Amino acid sequence: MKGAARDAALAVLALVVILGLLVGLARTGTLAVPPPEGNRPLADKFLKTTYNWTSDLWSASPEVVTSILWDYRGLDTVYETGVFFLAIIGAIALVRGIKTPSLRWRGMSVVARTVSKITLVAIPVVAASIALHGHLTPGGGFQGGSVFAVASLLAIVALGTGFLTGRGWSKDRLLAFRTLGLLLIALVAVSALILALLKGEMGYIMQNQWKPWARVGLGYLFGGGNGILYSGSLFFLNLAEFLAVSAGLSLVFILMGLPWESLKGGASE
Amino acid sequence: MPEQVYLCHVLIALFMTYALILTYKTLVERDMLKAIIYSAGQAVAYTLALTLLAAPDLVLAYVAVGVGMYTALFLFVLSRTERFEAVQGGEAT
Repeated sequence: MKGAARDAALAVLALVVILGLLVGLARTGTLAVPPPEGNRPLADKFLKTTYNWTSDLWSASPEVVTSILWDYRGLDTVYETGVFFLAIIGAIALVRGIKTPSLRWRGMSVVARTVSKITLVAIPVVAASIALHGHLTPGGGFQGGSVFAVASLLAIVALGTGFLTGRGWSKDRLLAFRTLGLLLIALVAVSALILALLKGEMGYIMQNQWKPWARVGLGYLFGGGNGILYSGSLFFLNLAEFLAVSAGLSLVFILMGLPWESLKGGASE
Repeated sequence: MPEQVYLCHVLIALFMTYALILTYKTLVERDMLKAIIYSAGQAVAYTLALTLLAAPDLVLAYVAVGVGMYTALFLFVLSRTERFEAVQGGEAT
């Protein structure tokens, strides 16, 4: 009886919330009905400059979100990556001094293992596609890296902890890849500035394209003429971020997959 | 009432309501495993709402972190502690 009353109250609440949201959205114009045909001024500015080569502020990429993340507010994203790196370092510091344990999780049944092996091929492909097309389609380095990390998580849960570590995915190697990604980001960030200094001209940190007052740029077409669009620094930054995020998150998952017994006595070393 | 209601807006309201209910269920649930599953359901509802709001960049990050990693991390943590939340007296149910 009590459960039925609560269910009825929840159903009434759901109905009220749906109607309230609908009326509220329509009345306040947050989501106008019908949807507005124009954009807000700020969105308009980004949409009109990001792939417009007559603009001084263009970033040579048709993907506005990636342009904002890695070009217009590029330094913010670099700091975010730094914060994420420190979080990974913290996780590693918690389990320092632990040897690779002999006791391992053996994985699931044959059915689960077979299905997992099929999806384990597909997920990294999707991840690479999200990351490497980040300057053309929705997605980017972080999204691709997160998707890749789900693949390593699946490998640990379904195929056992020995699957990745047995294939050379050691702590040091993953940390090296993580650091390599971060160093690549730093290198790309200052590359335009270094070019400008070598030419004796004005340049910026995280500069992507040529500007009249800072006449250096990282180019945007591979092969020139009708070449492949790589959008200057955006492609390299996405690639480096993909490397950093996938290696970092995989490392954390491998550490979390360690047996409890090895963690208890590990810190005494 | 608005003169015209779009299916998209009804679905957004519906998914956000699901998310609200699932958040409530997560808060009151004593079985941690069920609470984690409710929370993952809330993440799924958010993912669908974000899709309808035409934010594919957010969806790609949210579906990997919110549904995949978050759930898996909490299941890892749960496997190393008690499944049931202790009642007021301190004794596990």
